Amino acid sequence: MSLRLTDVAWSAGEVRVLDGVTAAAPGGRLTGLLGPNGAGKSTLLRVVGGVLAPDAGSVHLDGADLLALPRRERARRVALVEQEAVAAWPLTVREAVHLGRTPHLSRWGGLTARDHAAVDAALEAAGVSALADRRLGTLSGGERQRAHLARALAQEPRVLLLDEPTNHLDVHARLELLALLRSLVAADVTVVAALHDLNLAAAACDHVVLLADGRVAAEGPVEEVLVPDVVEPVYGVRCDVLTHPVTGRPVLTFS
Amino acid sequence: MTGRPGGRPRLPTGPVALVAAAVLLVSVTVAVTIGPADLAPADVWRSVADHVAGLLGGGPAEPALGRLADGIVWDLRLPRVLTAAAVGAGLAVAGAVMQSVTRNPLADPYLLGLSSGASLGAVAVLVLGVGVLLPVAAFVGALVALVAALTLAGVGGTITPGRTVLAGLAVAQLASAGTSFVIFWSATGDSYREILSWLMGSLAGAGWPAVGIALGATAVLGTGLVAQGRTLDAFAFGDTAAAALGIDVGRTRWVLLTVVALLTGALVAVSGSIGFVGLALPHAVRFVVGPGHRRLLPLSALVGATFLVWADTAARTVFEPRELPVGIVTAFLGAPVFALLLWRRRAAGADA
Repeated sequence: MSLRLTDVAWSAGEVRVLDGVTAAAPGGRLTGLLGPNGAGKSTLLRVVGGVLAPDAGSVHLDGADLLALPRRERARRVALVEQEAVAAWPLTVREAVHLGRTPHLSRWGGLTARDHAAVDAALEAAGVSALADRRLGTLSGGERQRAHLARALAQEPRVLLLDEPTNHLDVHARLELLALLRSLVAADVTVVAALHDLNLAAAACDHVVLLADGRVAAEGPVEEVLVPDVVEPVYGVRCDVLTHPVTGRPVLTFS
Repeated sequence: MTGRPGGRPRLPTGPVALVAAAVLLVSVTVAVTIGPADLAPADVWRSVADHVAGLLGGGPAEPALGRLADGIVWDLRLPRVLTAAAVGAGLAVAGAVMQSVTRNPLADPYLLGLSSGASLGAVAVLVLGVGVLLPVAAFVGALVALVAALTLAGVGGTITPGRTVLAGLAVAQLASAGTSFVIFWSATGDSYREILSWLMGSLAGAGWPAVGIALGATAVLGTGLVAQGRTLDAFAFGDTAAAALGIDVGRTRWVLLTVVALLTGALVAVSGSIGFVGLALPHAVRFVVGPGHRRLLPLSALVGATFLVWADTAARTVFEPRELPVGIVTAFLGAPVFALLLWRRRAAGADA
C-alpha cells in the first residue's frame, strides 16, 4: 500500500511547520524521513497518523483519502510509534499491546479470540513474547521500544509510522530494531521512520525523503538523495560519501 | 481487557468484584445497626422488607420492628448509609476518570475547582441566607466553576491535561477567596460551625432525597463513564497515542470532564467536599486489578462505597454524641493508605 502526500501544510500559530509537502512512501518498502531538527519530521508523521489535521493538502493510501476516513477506520490502517511514550500508570507489556486493539473493539464487548491472536502475533513479531508479563518500566530501552512497536502492530496496520525509533538505543538494539523493521517490510507493511542518523538510513532504507524547513528538499532512492550536493546545503556541513566495504551501501562522513 | 494472563499478580476480576460487592452489602447492613440504639442485622432487613412491601401496597399496618426501631432504620440510618455508599462510589469513579483524563495521579474529582465553587454556593446560603436550598446552591456553584474552568482551559486551543489543572487551580483559588470573604465578612459563631462541617464534608442529616440525588447521579453518570472504559484506556500513553488509536482526543476530554463534573457537582451538593476517596482509592484498586478501566471503574465504585460507609459510621459514632465531619475521617484514613501505596509502588519497581 503506497502512501502519497500532496501539498500538505500545517502551521502552529504563525509558524509554518509544514509548507506544502509532496512526497510518497512506496508500498512494502522502508522509507526514511530525514532532515535537520525542526524540519517537520515529527509533525509530518502526526499528520499522516491522524493526530494533527493538516491546514491543507491530502494524504492518500492506495488512492483512498486517509483524511476523509473515520478515525477508527484510519487507525486500523495506520499506526504511529511516538518518541518516548510514557504510560501514566505501570502497565505490563501485554496490557500495553492490548491497547493497540482499541480501533478494532466494540464499546461493550470484550477482546475476542481474534483480538488475542492479533496481540500474540504482535508480541511475537516484535520479539517481546517472553517479556509479555513484565512491566514497561522494568525493560531496557531497546526492549521498551520493541514493546511500543508491538502495540502499533496489534493495530494490524498497513502503514507503520515511527518517530526516531532508534533514539537512545545502543548499537546492538539499533540494529535489532532495524532488522525488525526489515522483516515487517518483507511482510508487506509500508514502514516510514523518521531518522536522525543518515548512515542508519543509508544502510537500511529503500527510499528516503529529505525535509528542510517544512519542505521536501529531495526524495528518491538512497543513492540519489544521500549525496554531497543534496546533503551539504540542508545540514550546513561538509559531506563525503564512501562505499561500505561489505554491504556496498553508501557511508557518509561529515566534517 | 479480560482475565487472560494479563500479567503478574493482578487478581482475577470476577471473584474480586463478587467479594467486593458482598463486602459492601454486609457493610451497609452492619453499619445501619451501629449507633446508640441496639439493632441486629436481621432487623435491618425486616424493616427494608416491610417498607418495600409497603411501597408495593402489601405491607403490614404496623412495622414488625416497632415504630421506634423501624424509624431509626428506615428514616435515619439507612438513608444516611446509602448516601455514604453512593457518594463514595461516585467519588471513586469520578476520581479514577479524572486521573486518567488528565494523566495526573494526584488528580481528584475536585480538580476543576468544583468543590470550591460548590462551597461558595453553599456558604452563600448558610451565611447570607440566600433563599434557595443548600444542595441547589452548591450544585449551581459547582456548575459555574465547571464552565469557568473548561472555558479557561479551552481558550485558544484544545483542552490539554496541563491547561486543565491550571484552569481548575485558578477557579478554585478565586472561589475559595470568595468563600473566605463571605465567611470573614458575615459569619457568626453559630453559622461558623455549620459552615466548617459542610466545608469538611458531612453526611449528617442525609435523608431519602439525598439518596435519590447521589444514587441517581452515580448510577446514570457512572455507567456512562464505565461505557467509556476503552476510550479511557487509550489515553494511557497520552494524547498523541490516543489520537493515533482513533480517539477524538479534544472532544472526548471535553465530554468526560463534563460528565465527571456533573457527577461530582451532584455529590458535593449532597455531602460537601469529602477528600481522599477520589484520590487514594482509585490508586489502591489500580494496584490490585491493574489500570484497565472496565475493571477499575466498577471496582472503584464498590470499594469507594464500602470505604465511605465505614468512614461515615466512624464519623458519627467514635465521639458520640458529637459528630465529626466525615471528611476529617477520610483524610485521617486516606493519607496513610496513600503513603503505603506509594511505598509499595516504589518497592515493586514501577516508575513507568
